[in-house]
Amino acid sequence: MIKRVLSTLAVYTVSILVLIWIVFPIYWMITVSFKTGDKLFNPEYIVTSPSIEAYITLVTQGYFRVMYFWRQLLNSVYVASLTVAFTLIISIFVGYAMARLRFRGKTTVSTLTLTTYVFPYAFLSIPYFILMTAMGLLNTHISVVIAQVIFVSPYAIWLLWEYSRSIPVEVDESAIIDGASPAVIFYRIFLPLSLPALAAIGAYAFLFSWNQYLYPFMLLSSETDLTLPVAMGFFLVSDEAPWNLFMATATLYSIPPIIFYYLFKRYLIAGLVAGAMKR
Amino acid sequence: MKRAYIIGAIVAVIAIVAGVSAVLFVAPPSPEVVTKIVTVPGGERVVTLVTTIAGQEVTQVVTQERVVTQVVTVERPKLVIWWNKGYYAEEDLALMQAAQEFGRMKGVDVEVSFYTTEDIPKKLIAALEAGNPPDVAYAHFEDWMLSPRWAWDGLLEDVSDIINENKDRYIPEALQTAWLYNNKEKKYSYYKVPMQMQTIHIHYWKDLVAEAGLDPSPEKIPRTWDEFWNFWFTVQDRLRAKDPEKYREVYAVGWTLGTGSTDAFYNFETIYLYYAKKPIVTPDGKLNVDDPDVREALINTFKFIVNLHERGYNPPGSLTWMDPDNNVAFHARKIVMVPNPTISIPAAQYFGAVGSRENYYTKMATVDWPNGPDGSEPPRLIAVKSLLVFKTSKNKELAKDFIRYFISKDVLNGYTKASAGRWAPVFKDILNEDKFYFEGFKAGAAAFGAPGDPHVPVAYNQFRTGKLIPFYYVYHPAYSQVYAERTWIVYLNKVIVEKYPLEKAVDEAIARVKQIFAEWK
Repeated sequence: MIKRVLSTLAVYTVSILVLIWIVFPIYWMITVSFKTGDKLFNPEYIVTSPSIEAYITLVTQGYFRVMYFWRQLLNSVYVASLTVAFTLIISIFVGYAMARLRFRGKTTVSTLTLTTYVFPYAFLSIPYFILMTAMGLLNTHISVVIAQVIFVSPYAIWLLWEYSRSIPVEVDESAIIDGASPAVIFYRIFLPLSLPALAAIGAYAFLFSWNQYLYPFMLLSSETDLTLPVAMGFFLVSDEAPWNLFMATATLYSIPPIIFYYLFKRYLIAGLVAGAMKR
Repeated sequence: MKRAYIIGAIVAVIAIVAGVSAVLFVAPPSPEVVTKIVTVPGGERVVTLVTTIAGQEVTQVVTQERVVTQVVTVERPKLVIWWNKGYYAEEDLALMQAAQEFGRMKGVDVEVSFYTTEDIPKKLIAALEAGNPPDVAYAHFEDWMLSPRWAWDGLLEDVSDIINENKDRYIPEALQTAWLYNNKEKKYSYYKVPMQMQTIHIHYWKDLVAEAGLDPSPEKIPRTWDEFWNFWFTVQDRLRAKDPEKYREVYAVGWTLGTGSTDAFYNFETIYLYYAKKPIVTPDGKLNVDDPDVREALINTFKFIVNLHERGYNPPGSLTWMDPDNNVAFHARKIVMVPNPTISIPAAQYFGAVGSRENYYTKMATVDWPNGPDGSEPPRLIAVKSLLVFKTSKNKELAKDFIRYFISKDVLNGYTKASAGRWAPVFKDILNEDKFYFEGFKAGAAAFGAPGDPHVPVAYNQFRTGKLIPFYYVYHPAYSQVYAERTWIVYLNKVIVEKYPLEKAVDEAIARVKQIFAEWK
């Protein structure tokens, strides 16, 4: 009995500590965003007189470091949306082919797909910069999208491939007997059954793009073209340290992924555990 | 069925490729239409519609009687400028205005992109690698870490023509920093255009000094070496004795020690100059670390900084400080005194970004460095910041014209003042002639009952008195790698953090510096 109580106590203690470890930075980010400029360096854990001054400055673009806030937020949305779209299109077709087709070199293709994951994407930033320069795509959002899709796709393909294997082939065969064409099988059977995996891939691609710093920094130049994480770097260049504004920007920027997560949570969990068990 | 799948996949891939191509190449950019009304010599009013599509101007001439379409295709050159993001909006704005004015005068497009101090070197390195650098570049760290190497590798355009046109205007020690060695062409030449410079200034909170029961007037701050430092230690001791709870986290000095900062090595080399009888690198480019005098001065420099920190007069967090962190700590009144390159700290108070003008005029002051341990005049270690044009820049002549325009007296002076005089101009006709560099923001002082500007005149006087000494990369570009690696600071941190034997750390640092020099052949 005592052993069980102690064990439960230990589990709860560790859980609470881990929770604090994870939640505290988020709590601190939100807390600082509600401080006024003169209270920034008061080490108070609970804001005694919260203010939305920083949020008003931010949404009205009333300070020179956030003068393109909305534009940069839209850039982030645009780049992330295209990354998600292209990743889904590529992964669904390739994943389908890998799962359902038999062709020569299939093993090599699958190995090569996963091998691309071996290279840390930071190492490839300068080669990509050279490549995009040669293609005349530097300073365009599409260059960032292409780079991000290339990095996200291998995992997306692998995930969808694994997931596809959990869809019984017999379903395809039944459809063929009923006279369904491959296109119909793909559209009516494979696509709807793959929705959880696609949601997981979409969320992964979105978050990857949303939080990406290196490639937008390398491939974009103009302040009006930058995505918000890169633009947030401008807060760290001087001694002005408007931390409340910085944290307000970070807080607002954190909201879309949270909404995204809750909208697709059901699919996300189903998709991520796909392939975890063998049939 | 298998074939159908393959065909389906191929069709899909073609569709994607076609879609992407359509987005990239087919969709035309939105035209920008400007209506211009001009009067031709015959007196006829002519309305023109100038449509800019993808950088090309198409001019349509419209008259009342008839429409005459003249299609004139004009290739407008575009000057690409990459610039270090400023500390203040005014700084960036001044550059933008200068760029726009230059574009208007020359009839060219000017594209200005800003990057953070830490990011712009990476971006420039990538662009150089790709053979696509900007036409003009300005980065705060170029002098310490970038341009000596790039000049050595033959990547920088020779700008002797611009320098020769302005040679008489330059402060000689500042100009000296642009004379770099090109190892590819085996020659020395001017490979950058110096624009502004910095040195370390000392700021302090007068009210905290007064709170400690000491006279806070700048003229009462001791001028001798030991007394100067003991003065600040006494302020901390007295404050803590007076109200331990209130002042337990207030430190005498804010000495940056972070290995990621440039302030740390700037502070280090300044202290070295105080202790040094001989330079680490001689003017003829010889590494001098085997000289016992140099080793001894390095040991004394290590001892001074370690002692300052270990006695508890410097915040423990300073070991991880980056360049803005000593500024932030000072604004937060966590340190009484701070050495800082540029006068960004009072400037931030003046602009009201942090603090207030009341602080600027009444609660803060700037003082000169004390005399050395041997009573000698304080050394003026200057870091000179320059404009760069690359060998592979697309519009080199246009870039040079922009630089000529930008360093002209009025334009550069406007830019320097816009940054609240954070930087000092390297031209005598600006630094020694414009009264701003003698009086600062004097006009606002009366409102706060202050006799004058307590910061700007003191700071700029440092450039006019004593001997200006450039950093050692001027004598040998290999030393730029010592800055890039922060060699001295890395070993200094080993002594403080790991309690590594001090003399052993100095010897190992010397060995590393020798190794760096050996690699630059």
